[in-house]
Amino acid sequence: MYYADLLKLCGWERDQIKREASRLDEAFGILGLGPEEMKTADGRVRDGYDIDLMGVRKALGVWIGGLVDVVLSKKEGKKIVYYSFPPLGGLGGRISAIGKGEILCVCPEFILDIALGAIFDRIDPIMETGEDKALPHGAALCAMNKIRVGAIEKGIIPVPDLLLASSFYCDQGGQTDEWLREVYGIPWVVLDNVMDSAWDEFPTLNPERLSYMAAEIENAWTEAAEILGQKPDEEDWGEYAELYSRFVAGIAETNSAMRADPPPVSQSNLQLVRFLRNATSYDRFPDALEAIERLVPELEERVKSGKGPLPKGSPRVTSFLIPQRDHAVAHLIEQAGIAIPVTFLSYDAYTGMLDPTYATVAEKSARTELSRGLYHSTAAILYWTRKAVEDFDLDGVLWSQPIHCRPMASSGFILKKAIEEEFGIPVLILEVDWYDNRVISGETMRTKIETFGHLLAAKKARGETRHRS
Amino acid sequence: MHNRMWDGEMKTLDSLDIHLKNRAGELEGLKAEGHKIIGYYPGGYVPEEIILACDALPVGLNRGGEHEPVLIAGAYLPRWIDTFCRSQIGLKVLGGEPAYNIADLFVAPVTDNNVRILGDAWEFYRLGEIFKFGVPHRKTERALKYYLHGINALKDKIEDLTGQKATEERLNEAIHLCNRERELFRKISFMRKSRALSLSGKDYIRLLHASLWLDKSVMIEILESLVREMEGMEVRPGTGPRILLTGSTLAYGDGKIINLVEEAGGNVVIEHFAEGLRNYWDDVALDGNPMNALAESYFHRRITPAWFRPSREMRDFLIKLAGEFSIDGVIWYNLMYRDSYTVQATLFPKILKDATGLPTLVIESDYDVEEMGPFRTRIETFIEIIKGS
Repeated sequence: MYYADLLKLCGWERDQIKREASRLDEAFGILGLGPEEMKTADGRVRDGYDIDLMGVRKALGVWIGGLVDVVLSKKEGKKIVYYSFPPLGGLGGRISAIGKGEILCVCPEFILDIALGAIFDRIDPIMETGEDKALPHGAALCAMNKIRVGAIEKGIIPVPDLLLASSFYCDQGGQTDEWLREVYGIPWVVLDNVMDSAWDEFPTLNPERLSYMAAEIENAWTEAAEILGQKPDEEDWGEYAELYSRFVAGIAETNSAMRADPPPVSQSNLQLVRFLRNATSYDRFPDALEAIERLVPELEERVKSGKGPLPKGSPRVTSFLIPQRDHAVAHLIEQAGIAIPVTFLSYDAYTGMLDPTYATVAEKSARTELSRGLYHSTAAILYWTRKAVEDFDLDGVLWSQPIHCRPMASSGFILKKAIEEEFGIPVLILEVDWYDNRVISGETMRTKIETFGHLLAAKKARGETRHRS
Repeated sequence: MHNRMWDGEMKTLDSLDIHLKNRAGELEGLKAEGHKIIGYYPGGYVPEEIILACDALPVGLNRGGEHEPVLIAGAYLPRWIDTFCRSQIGLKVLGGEPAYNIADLFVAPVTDNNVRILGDAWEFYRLGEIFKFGVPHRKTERALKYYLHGINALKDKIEDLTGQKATEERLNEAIHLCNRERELFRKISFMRKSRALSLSGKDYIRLLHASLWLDKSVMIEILESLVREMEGMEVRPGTGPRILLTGSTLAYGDGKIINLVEEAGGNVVIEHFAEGLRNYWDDVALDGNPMNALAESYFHRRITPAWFRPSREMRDFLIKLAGEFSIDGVIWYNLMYRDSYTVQATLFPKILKDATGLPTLVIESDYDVEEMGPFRTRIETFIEIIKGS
């Protein structure tokens, strides 16, 4: 078993490897992952992640397991549902819950990007196929969509039985789903909303928009259940929701740990764990839960002993997310002495806004999605970034501004002006591609990141602190 | 110089030039008299009738095609936004276009990511008062209700601004007026179904753009006069390939594609863009509640753009147009980073080819002068290929 060492490194137990050996053989065969690729992955895992933490290793293992699950899903007789990135409305979880393991409902590009991209570094040919077929190179289009198209076209992942599409947050995502629908004749369910808020509306949620989104979630849910021949069952959802709540509680605990100085772990590791909730199948979700529940005490232990990848007193910043495919970006930030205790996607302060009384699951989902800010407005992203600056005692913002993501396009410019004026702290906009390092690689950012690190350190040394104007 | 397709004078188009030239001064005068001027993002989702019923003046902000505003916008937005949307920020900041300076309010129907971001920037950088309302992306009863809610809020806003109530009677008068304009546009457009061309594509597009800027009654007089002239003229058969020009946005000032087509010997005989055909293809019903009728027409019956889900209706409509207007080829003119159109452009040529056998040329622009050379080569080649087939 040429893959056993890698899997052990990624938190798999000996028994589990033995139990899943035939599946692993088959899936790795389809993916073209042989001994050489295992060697590459071993190096990338050791180089890119904090493997002293079993929670992180377990998370890596869940991503690899998820890859195997999606590759084999059709052969194993599952009904397959793909939702596009970013996921919306808790629909993936609800469909997983009603299917109870008979339905594989995942965001395949996310699994492929992390497992085949970040771990094995074998994603480029898939993106290139996506470019040839649907999303042309050179038009600043999202690698996630390219991966979805490319992986289906290459036969690496099966054609699904249903697509869950969003029509409002990302034009590209919806259009890509429509492309797949037309080319492969895949049924789809579309979830709509509008992002038409006035600049000063957030954190208030407009009731018409909330109702519209809730009705769309409910409708998508009902339509999907009908297409899949399942009966919506709130009890099944309740069981799954309980597991999910434990996962979310784990995320909150990791955030608490990250408030420490120094933060106990590099943010890119946390991202790896946190994103499991968005892309893990029903069968793998208990493993995802185990990963985060192993990680929390490990981080608390580090906090107690004052350990972290950077020394105490290092400048602290926030970002949107850390590019996950290219480990060099996270390394450069750390080498520049900059700690990232929080990112926009990790900061879950919105949960404080949620009204515990709600009429339906759909309304709760809509309220959650809108309160998080991402699906609300740029103003809401700014709102939570301001909060993070204060809550996490930050010295600056290092905003990863994606060139491929239209919904996020205005965030960097607006945030820079607003945060610098309000708090007097520096904001660096780093133009990146979160998922594709063929376009902008980490090394091209070295000068910017190092200079920014020097600037932050100098300001801190001079005692120039944040203010609120 | 108009690209005349017949022998003889066309006085109406000369008078159009004069009206266009004088319009900024007229608007300034009307503003001084207390009239409110409402600028809006073109794309077919802002009912001008609501603005007219409040005794305000609608002005479609659809200038574009120049590179300088795009460059200026770079201080406010990253490059990765639709070229036309970036242009709007640049034009507002530069201050050289009267339409952008004179408006008391900018109305932005939030359609796709690009328009949302344009709205964000307009609001955050305080470029002027803005009113946004959402346009859902699916044709459902629920979506129609949401759109209706949005245009009702727009009505409230303009009523507040003008102090003038948009009563049912006034709304119906405005609908009647706008329907007349639509009817005339359809009439002229349908004349272009004939092989004997009576109006160049360039002139037709000028009329469409003018309709977003001129007084509605004046525009109707121009169109009526043009119809009379066209009906009385002896036209000569057009010889060049007949082109359907489509894409995301064809701005007032962005004439390069149509010029290149005509210079290469082609004729654009029908066009489908955000600020063109979508506005005139369908009338608003005059029976029943006028706000409901506006929502029904502007949202539910509107030909869908590429960002609708599904957007197949738009492609099917283009194929239908290709048949009705005896098209020889389609030019798909896309602005950079308008993703829905970019992705759809990868699928459309095959669908069109399978359905009709017609070729498609996809061209993408960032309003850069350096594009002209490559565009000329591609368009000339495309026209030549059609001629030779």
